[in-house]
Amino acid sequence: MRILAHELKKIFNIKTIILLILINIIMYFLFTEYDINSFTINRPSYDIYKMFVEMEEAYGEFMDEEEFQDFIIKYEEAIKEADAYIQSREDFKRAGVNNYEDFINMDRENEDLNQLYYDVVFDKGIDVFWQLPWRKEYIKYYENREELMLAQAANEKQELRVKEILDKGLETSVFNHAVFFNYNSLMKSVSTSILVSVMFIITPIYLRDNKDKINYLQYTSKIGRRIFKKKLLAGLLATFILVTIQFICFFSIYSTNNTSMFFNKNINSIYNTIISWYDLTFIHYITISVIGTYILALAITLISMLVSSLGQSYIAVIGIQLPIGFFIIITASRYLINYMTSISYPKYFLELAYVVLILISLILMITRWKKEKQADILY
Amino acid sequence: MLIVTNVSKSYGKLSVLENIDIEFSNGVYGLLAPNGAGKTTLIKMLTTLLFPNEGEILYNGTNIFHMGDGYRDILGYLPQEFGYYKNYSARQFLNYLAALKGLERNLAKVRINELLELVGLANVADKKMKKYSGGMVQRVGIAQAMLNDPKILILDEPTAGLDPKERVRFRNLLAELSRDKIVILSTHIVSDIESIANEIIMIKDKKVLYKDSINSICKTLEGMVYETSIDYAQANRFRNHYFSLSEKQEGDKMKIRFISENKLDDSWESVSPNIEDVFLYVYKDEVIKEG
Ligand SMILES: Nc1ncnc2c1ncn2[C@@H]1O[C@H](COP(=O)(O)OP(=O)(O)OP(=O)(O)O)[C@@H](O)[C@H]1O
Ligand SMILES: [Mg+2]
Repeated sequence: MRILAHELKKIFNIKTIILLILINIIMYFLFTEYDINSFTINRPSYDIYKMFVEMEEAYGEFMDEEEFQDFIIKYEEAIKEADAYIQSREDFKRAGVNNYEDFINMDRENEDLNQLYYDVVFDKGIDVFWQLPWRKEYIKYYENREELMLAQAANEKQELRVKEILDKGLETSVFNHAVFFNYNSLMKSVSTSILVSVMFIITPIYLRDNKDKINYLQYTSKIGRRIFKKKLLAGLLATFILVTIQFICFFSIYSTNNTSMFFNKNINSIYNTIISWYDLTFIHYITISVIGTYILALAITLISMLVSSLGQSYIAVIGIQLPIGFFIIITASRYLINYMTSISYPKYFLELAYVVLILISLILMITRWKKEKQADILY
Repeated sequence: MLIVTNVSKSYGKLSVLENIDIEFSNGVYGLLAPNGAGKTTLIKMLTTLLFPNEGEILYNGTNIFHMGDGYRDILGYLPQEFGYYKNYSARQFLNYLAALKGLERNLAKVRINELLELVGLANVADKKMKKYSGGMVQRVGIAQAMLNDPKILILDEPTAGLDPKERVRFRNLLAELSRDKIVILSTHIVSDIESIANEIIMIKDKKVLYKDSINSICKTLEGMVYETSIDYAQANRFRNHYFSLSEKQEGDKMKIRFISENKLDDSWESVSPNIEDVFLYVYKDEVIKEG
């Protein structure tokens, strides 16, 4: 325990912590911040979000046929609202635009009419004009949902899955692409920040001691070469602590996006852009992505430690570490953290990829330890 | 008793030590050999950093590699290149090593204070080590080797980087520390061990050449070391005939100390050989190569 504490102290030294905070601040403003701040600004995604919040309040988990009729009524009410707005404006009257119907059929080649369109939609940004096209679109989605869902199946297995979803009626889930896409985009940058941070704190673990020949003192003291395992454990623990802290920070920030009402909604919605192999709710999906990031972080910890234990100089180790890190981070954020469990991948792709990753890094490190036990310490 | 039996070690194809047999019992041993002779190699085997290609190292009859913890627990080691954390104070660093050595926390605290006092670092114990001089760092190195009150203390060139004053201090320190222990220290500086080593071990051509008391080793040159004064003009001719050990200026003449099988001239004064003479004579090929 005492040795472990010492090793942890070495990992989390003041300099490292300061640099770590700096790295994370930079990464936050470079990648993450946009998806946090823009979520409540971007159009139409925020309009869609608001529309779904309203739907969630009215319909609950799923939108059944009866509730769909209400949704249509809402659409008609929205048109009336738009009509009222248009009729309230003199300039529209002069241009001969008397209702929403006229508004969408305006000849926008005409400079003046185009000017009016811009004024309503962009300059004034009247909500209802943003919502209406999507309400209309989503009504169509609902009516044609079987067809649309099935169209996303490219092979027999996918088709079976889609049919299963349709049988269970999961596609009527009150869940939307705006929230899901935003979360995935955030998760990509957060997991990247996490993996970079992990590599940063883990890389020196063995190198620092080997380079300065402190390993001579360690290996000839009572603990002997078992210090290798202590450092390994300290590294894994440090990663676990670091990832946990980063997730706490991230989810506190993410909570400002206010998506908790969708946590218990199934993600296989016709209004979402993923069809999953599994009947996951949004909170399930979040949990899986968090677990996935932990696994990736632990795997990258093991691999970083392996490289750290082999090199003799920072230049050499960073030279090997960077391409490996880049490869893992890019692969991970593209395939292993993004749109997890999607049917666009083979059914067990994700599970297999993670298992292979864990196995490879574990086997490499175990082999390394076995070798270290009986190796001549030449340097 | 620490016994090295029939130990050989090579780095890949480069054979460094062959069939080494040495027995160590309590006392101070000086491992004396020129650069590259294999002192560090032998020491790294004695400290379990290297595994012999052949042969065994036994402590009280048990192979040290089988003893594992038990052996390292009684081992104190100062590597030739002593590594430390620059941002740690001496106290922090010793604390860390005390943990690795399995010293109980309170005991470690007391022991660290004692040792810091002993090596004269008590007043700077909480300064970062990056501010230390080479000599101070080396003294931390000696202190850490002593932490666990080792039965076997191995110091690889402990006086390297120390100034003459520190060397004297180190010698006195060692004389004090070496009771009831096996102390092995390597050096290629003769004066370091002349006064404190009970036995000298010399390695030459991958083998142990001598392992004996200083007196006995010096006896091998008994009646062969002479001193005489010659003209500078003669110096070169003289050196070609006899192996010169040391030369110094004395008025307009040169006083030369040299080796000869027989006394060929009455002006030669027979002197008793010292360990430095033996060292220079034994390694004359190497010394010349280096020079
Ligand atoms: N890690 C290594 N790989 C290959 N050869 C080595 C290694 N370490 C030492 N050697 C070689 O082994 C020989 C003995 O080296 P060693 O360090 O044991 O000598 P030494 O007596 O301690 O010398 P010095 O007084 O310079 O410290 C030298 O020729 C050296 O070049
Ligand atoms: Mg050496």
